[in-house]
Amino acid sequence: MRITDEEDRLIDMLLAQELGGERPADVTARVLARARTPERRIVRMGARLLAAAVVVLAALVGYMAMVGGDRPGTEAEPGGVARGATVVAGDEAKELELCGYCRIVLAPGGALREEGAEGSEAIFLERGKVVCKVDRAVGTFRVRTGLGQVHVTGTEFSVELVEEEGEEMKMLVKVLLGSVLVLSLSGQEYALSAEGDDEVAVGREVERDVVLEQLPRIVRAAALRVVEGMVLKEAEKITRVGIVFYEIDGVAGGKEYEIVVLSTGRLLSVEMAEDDDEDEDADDEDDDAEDEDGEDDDGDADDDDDEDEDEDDAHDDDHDDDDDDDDRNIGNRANDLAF
Amino acid sequence: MQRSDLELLVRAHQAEVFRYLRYLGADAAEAEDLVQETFLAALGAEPQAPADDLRGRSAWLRGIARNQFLMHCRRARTSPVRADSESLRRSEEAWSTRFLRDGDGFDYVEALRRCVDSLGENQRHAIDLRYVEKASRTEMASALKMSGDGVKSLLRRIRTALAECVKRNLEAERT
Repeated sequence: MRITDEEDRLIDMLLAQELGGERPADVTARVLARARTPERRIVRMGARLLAAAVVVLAALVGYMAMVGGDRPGTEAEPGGVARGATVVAGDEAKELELCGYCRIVLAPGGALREEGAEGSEAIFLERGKVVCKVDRAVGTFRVRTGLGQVHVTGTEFSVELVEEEGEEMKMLVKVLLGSVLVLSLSGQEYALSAEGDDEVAVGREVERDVVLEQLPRIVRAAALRVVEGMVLKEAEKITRVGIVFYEIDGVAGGKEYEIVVLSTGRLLSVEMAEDDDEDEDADDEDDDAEDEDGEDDDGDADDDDDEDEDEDDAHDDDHDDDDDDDDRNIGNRANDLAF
Repeated sequence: MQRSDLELLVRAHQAEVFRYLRYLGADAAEAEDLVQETFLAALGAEPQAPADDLRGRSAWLRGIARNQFLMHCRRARTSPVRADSESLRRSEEAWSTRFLRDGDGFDYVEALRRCVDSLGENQRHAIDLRYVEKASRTEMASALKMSGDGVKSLLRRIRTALAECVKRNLEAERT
């Protein structure tokens, strides 16, 4: 059988990694540090654009004030809200009504934007909290936020954007009457009802405990490959910006480990909670001193020097002659075993 | 793409991108640099797959990595690796149809491990010399009492046998 040069190169590279211990460095910190510079530039550019936009807007508002007339999308009308209007509640709550069947109370300090149509009313909650009461069998209603949305047909519920110090913003949905369907940006669906699960907090990151027996085989295998003999204690399934991964806690040799594995079985990180020995990378370096005695006796079995395969592609054994070079041990076990 | 998303993207894909660049022909140090360049280029590009489409994201990053590698080869005239669009296209085809055929390459690597374990003593000794002890071809020739070309052919034959073994293993798993 013959294989293509590409397949040969694939096996060659995998053997170098699997047997030779070649490990990729964790470049996350370096990439993020290098990414910072252009990001600042973008922020500065954004600030300049924003300043320009403010000037234009101020001129426009001044013009509108002089000319007079309708200002759609700027304020609530008595008993209702203009299409596209942004409503801001100051020190006092604001009560709004949409199309006669959605009554909304916007809590003090909150802001929302109307974005629906007749019979399919919708608001976008920019900040704060709303309590909504929707009459049954009249039309649909939807509350959208930057973190997800809530669909209802006839119910009473509240949606609040909560941002606590040091934590990511969360959307807190609570059902007071009837039921709602909550869709998070990360693709999770939650059916809430006043009689059952009546509350959920949705963020960019969704965490759920996983029964260890239900941990996917490929994930469990990846974790146990990192720390042999580890006894698994608990696991969490996390969905973040649509990517699913597992945080697995376990114990081995008196030490606690936290291992993060993608749902595909790829290892993301390993942390040891109890770090009482210093030789983090002791496992990396200890095999090169062992046997230099490659002088074995079995060359005879394979000495059929058929020079048939002309494999002079640049990738191939050019590497053979100069490969005492990059035996780099990065010492990052997570990456060590990333495949 | 936000910084937090970039961090996750790097953590999720850096090992794979490194491996891919090594496969294309970059040496370890080049691959490490090019992994960084790949993600920085990704930061400024529009993702061609949604965040929850790992395979799509992976293919998108491989495309960026190929471009980075090609540009690198053109800049580094002394590089022993000759890369052009056609050879890179063939490389990608082999990667996606062989290595990634059953997922993200995990099964392929597992099968390769099994195949390496099943090698005969002589073959195992030869690949240990080459890949574990990192013996040069000359050192191997001396150890195995063979010519340099013989070593080259031997290694190629072992890799061929391993590729065939992996293929059989994966097909057996599929059925």
